[in-house]
Amino acid sequence: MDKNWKKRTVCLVSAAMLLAAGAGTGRAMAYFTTYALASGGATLALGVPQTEITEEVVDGEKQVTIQNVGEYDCYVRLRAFAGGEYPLTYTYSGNWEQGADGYFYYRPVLAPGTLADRLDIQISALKDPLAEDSTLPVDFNVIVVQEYTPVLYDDVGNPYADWNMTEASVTVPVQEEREGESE
Amino acid sequence: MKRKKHFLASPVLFLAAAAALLLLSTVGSTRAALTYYSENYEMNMEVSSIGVSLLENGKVVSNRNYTDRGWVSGSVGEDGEPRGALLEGRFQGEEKLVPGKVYEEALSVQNSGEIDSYVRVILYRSWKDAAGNRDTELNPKLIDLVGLGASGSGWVVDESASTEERVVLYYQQPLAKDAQTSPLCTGLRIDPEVLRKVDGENGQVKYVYNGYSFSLEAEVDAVQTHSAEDAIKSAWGVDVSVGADGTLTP
Repeated sequence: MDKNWKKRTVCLVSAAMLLAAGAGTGRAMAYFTTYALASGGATLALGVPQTEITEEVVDGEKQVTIQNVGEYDCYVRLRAFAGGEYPLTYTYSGNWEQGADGYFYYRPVLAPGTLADRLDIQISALKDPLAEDSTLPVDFNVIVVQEYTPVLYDDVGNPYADWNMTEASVTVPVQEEREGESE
Repeated sequence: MKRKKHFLASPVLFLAAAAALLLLSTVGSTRAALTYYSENYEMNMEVSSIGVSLLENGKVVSNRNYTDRGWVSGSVGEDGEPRGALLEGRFQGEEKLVPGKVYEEALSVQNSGEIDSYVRVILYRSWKDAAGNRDTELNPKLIDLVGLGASGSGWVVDESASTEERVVLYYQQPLAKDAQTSPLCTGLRIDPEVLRKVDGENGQVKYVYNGYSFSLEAEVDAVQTHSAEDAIKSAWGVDVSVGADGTLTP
């Protein structure tokens, strides 16, 4: 009888300790945590700019204008080619700038629908009336190549052009050959 | 003699009564003290509440705080989760998203609970098509978060847990009640590389990324500082070490 009581006491004490330990374990596992979520985004609208060049020959002078006929801002540049022995002269506004590579760069961003300032190209030899014994050829070919490139932005949002971005820049030799007439 | 004895017994009775009164008054004080401590205990329950807020450019966009009314969030998504909006109202109307330009996007975390906590942020970035489907062919690294985990910001990137799509950052110091971290990033920029990815047929050139939306998701987690290593292991499933000065290292 006495032994049974002792056993019961031991069992009860053990059970109480287990319960106490279990309760303690439960508390240790319950950590304070929380979280919050947020999301957002925006759509990227990219498009290839489109430009159109217009050339008019007036009194032996080629008058060139470029228009942005697309939906995206762009930068444009152009270059004229002629026979090496007949140098070309250019007349242009302050928005054009001649680069060391022979290209003329239009500095402002050309917005959709806008025209770049006109740039005039002359063959120097044709500035004055030809003498009767002139050996100049009757016809001249002046080839104008214009290119455009998308507008890029630096870290602070200033626009710039990367003319080395050849994959995205599309070189379009518009009107491969243009004829300039001698008088 | 008998009468004298009875007389002498009276002071004893008085003394006993006084002792009893004194005892009762002590019990009363003890009860009052217990009541007082009980109020303190209720206050301690409030002290145990945890909360965290995600801030975008200094403004709270999402939070989840434990209060006497239970869990409270400023905004809840359709899935019932505490979910706020990033970049809300941006890139609409006049403001076009242009590659290369850095837009202000300072993300930080505030302890909006009552106890100190450690916090971490997991950022997910991806490209989605017009139907909202994630396109894993496009490069998530072109969604550039400027100054991410910059030196001196207090944030450290867990490179072992990060991928091109996911960046895990830990704030190394415990965040006290109401305290705010420094920004884990300062700006958002779409890498101009997106303009170099072109495709097309028959002379028609088109940009691969055109019409895609970039997606930025942020998850901020907070955990108690007490038994931090065990708590973080249990809650976040990662092993970290916490130095004697409280600095957490993932």
